[in-house]
Amino acid sequence: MLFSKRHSIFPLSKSLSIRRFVSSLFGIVIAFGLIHAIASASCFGQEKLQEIDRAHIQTYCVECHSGDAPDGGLSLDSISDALEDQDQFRKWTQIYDRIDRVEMPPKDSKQPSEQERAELLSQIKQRLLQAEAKRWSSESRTRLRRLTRAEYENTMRDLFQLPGIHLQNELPPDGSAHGFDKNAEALDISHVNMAKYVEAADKVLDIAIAVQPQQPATKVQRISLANPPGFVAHVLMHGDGVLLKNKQVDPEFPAPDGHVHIDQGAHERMGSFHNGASVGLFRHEDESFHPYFNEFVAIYPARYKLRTSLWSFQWDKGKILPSRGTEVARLSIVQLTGDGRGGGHPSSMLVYLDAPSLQEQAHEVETWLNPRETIGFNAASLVTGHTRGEGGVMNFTGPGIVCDYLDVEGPFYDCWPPQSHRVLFGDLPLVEFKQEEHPNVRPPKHNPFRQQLFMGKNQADPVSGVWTVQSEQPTRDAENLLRKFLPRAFRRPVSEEKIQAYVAQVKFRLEQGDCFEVAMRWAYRLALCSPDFLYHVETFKPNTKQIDDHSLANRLSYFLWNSLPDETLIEKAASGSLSDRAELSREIERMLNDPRSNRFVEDFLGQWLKLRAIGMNDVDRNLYPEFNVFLQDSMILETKAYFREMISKNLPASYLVKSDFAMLNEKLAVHYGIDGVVGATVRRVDLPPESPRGPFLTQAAILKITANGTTTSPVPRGAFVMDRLFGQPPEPPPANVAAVEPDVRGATTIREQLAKHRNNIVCASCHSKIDPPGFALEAFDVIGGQRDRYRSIGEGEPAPRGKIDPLIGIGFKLGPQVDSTGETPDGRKFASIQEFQQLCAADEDRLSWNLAKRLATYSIGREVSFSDRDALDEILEEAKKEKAGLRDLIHSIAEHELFRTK
Amino acid sequence: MMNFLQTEKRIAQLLVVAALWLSAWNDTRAVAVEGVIELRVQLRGLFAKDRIDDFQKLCDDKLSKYGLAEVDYDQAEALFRFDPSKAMPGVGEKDFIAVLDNEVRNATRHTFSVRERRVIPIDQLERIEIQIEGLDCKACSLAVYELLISCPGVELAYASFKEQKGVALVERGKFDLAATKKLLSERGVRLPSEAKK
Repeated sequence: MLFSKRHSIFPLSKSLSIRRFVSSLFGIVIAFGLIHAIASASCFGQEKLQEIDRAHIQTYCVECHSGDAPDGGLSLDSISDALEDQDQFRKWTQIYDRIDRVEMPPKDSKQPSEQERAELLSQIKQRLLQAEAKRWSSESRTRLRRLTRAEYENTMRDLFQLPGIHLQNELPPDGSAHGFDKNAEALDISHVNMAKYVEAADKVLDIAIAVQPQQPATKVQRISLANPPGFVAHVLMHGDGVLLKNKQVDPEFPAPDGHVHIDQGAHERMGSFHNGASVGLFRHEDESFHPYFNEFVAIYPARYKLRTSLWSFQWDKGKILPSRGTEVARLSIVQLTGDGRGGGHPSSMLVYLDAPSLQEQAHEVETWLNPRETIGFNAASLVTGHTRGEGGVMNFTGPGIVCDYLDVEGPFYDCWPPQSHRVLFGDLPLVEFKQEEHPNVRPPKHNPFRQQLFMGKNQADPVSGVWTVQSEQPTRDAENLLRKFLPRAFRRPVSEEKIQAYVAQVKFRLEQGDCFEVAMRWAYRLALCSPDFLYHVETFKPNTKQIDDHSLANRLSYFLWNSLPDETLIEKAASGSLSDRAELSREIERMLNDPRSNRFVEDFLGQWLKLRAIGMNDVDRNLYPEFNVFLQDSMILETKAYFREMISKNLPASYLVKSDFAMLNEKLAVHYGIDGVVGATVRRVDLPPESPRGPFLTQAAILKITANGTTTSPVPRGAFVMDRLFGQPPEPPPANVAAVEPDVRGATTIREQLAKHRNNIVCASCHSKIDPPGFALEAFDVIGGQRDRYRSIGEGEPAPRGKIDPLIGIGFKLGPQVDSTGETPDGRKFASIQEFQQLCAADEDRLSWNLAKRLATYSIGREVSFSDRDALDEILEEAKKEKAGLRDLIHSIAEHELFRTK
Repeated sequence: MMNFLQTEKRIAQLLVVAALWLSAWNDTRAVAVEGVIELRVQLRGLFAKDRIDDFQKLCDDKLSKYGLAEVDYDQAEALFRFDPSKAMPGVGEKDFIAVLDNEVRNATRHTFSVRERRVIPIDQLERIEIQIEGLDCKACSLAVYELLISCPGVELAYASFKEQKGVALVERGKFDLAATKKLLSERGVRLPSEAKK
């Protein structure tokens, strides 16, 4: 694969003049300059190199790249061959790539022969490899790196079997290098990190250690959506919802008919909101309306079961009629801050649930809740009904979603003391600490669990006395406990010396008068803040450059689970069986099939496709009034489900850009104009051949991420496609060139503006590659809807409603026609997004190569450098022996030598 | 002389009995046999007739130890019969009403309360009716009632959106109708026309 040509779908167009590619020549000029540098190196024959060098320079380069004003601002005389300089190295790598992709010399220029090109590439490659080899001889390639925030949280969750504790948001943000936060270059550490690690360790230990002899009682609390601490009771007074009994308006709480209910307090005292009535809502959650079930506020961190009953209806001026279809409601977990009052507390989506027409559907969801967390509700598929005008809700016709109740049952534990406690103290008994029996021992200071917020009606179980673990042989028990805990926490065998060092810490604290729990806690906190825990410490097999099996198990686990290895993986590492490729392959299969692999999906997509940034731009509601949080959540679910499906069905990289199916729920299907999908569940939907939907390229999530909420521009979208999907990131724009600002008034199209922009010769060469994919994606608006015309808030014609909800007001107009046609730099034309997808899918090798590179970078925690390219080629070749699908690719990476070396 | 004295003594005894009776009538309490007392109190929250049933049910469910004997809607009074040593052990007689009030409030989520009986006879009160418009909702009526009964000079009040009126029985010269209507408006109550006497 030494001279493999990774042909781009965007080589330079024949039709473009030499002058428009002056800056492109930059590369070839540098390339031949490099030959000159190579000539001075001892590894090649100087005479021969000089001959080639001179010949090429004279033939192809000097004319443009010499003199006082060399094209591209580059003179051959200024080329540096100091490849230990990373900037120079990066430039040479780009030069190599452009020659390799036959982008240079420009096709309308005189071309070197194939032999000349191959020789030239070989020489550059050898020189770059030598430079890297020299660099790596003095430093480790995968440097020691700490856990990322996500890794830290997952590791703590799995170590203590506390699957829902929140930690990562309490730690300083990680940086990013080479596209991922898993790279040592992005993971510095400071005193702030350390202080936060100490806090986080204390928080985990507080939660993990049992402080009462009996398991907290499991109780069921039924909560009405109209519970007064939430927001719903207030809006019911005004008719944004109704109370229902037997699918009719509750006669004790008539629907506002222009008159509204007065004095919410009087209604609360009269029991209007606690009389067993169901709550029908006509509006979704928004900035001023946050329905919470906060008569329940979690006290104990544990598992809970949530049960609810939902249905929907069409409200017609007081009549309850069948609804337009299955509506959808969202439950979320809300972290109540401060005193818990008001709305807008941080929350995370838990689940979307169906509410069928006039038919109650019971749902049960199991989830972990932390102290101060409650459940939020959103009538997600609704828009805000106009219920407050003349005649009130009795003059309103529109859809409603009914919540009959929410039952919260819990807390649930697998055993007591819980597993988190047993990880720390095994089966040592919990006893009441009596000071008189231990006059010289300091008791533990516990903060008993209690209801922290006044609105929470659930209360903690009373606990009398101070309960703590009892050890008859503290030193021996400490040693036994630490001998078990430390290897698990450090993810590898721990030396006897290190274990004894921790035991000594316990002994010291015991001598200082601490009780056993406090002394052990001291040692555990030390361990959880130590480099052994916070860093990925990788060790070699004896006399090899391969990492040992424990390190391999860790790499595998943090690649596919983003967390520490489980017992099975550790056992296989300890037995040495991971060295067996078949066994390793079986483990990879097991891990990919485990739900923990969803963490990989989330973490990888969050960075590779910037899915974490989907909420970073606010959508202009004047232009896109149909956008809401349900649509955005559906977008995220689609992208994750699609990647999951690619893994599951082992689909090839062409599915990044073209697909015959999509992962949709009803919300997205309507958004995409696809019929026949009902309900909240995302599922695989087969597409007609002409549909552009399905792949990442045309997913609404990606289209939103690459827009700014108001307008689209071919530039960021094109750059995203070139970088993230094809692995050809464009150079940053020159500093002195103004950005192109789309015109939301509808007077000019972005294409017209870019045409002017490309007249600037400095801009033309890059834009010839960036713009075509961007033009193709102009077929989609900022929220991923397909369009023929731009939306405008200025000039334009009245816009038809289309599939926009009839209750949504439309203020935008139809502006200029969208032109999504284009031409790749090598002259291949496309008339539509579908044709563009065909061109992209034909470049499967490049898509695969980039995907492999991204996965490798993510999995080994370092840049995949120039000298790793052969390894990547081997990985792809190996994957091609099977179906060359994503699953094969993951196997191939994790089983390759690249994955086993530092 | 003896007869006169006996007569005088008898008259005095009658007067004492009469005084005690009057006192019992006016002071709300009468000692009955075997430690059971009768306690008659002003009952607040009785803004419509169907509230009688509400109160009786609440008392049956949550305040049975106080033995609700009677609710007088016109006077807005309630009569309880109970044994203080069992229902309010350790509570002095002067605190009976305060303790009962606390229990009634808690049991009824503060929609009812009790207090000393009114002093001014009902026929000396002026009846003011205020027309109101709104939803036929008991809790909304409670809101109007509570606003009316809290106004200075109001001794008794009723409210019903079904009948579209609020009624206040007021001490002459101490009630400010305009201020009350302003308060009602501010509370969100629609007042379609002037009040009538």
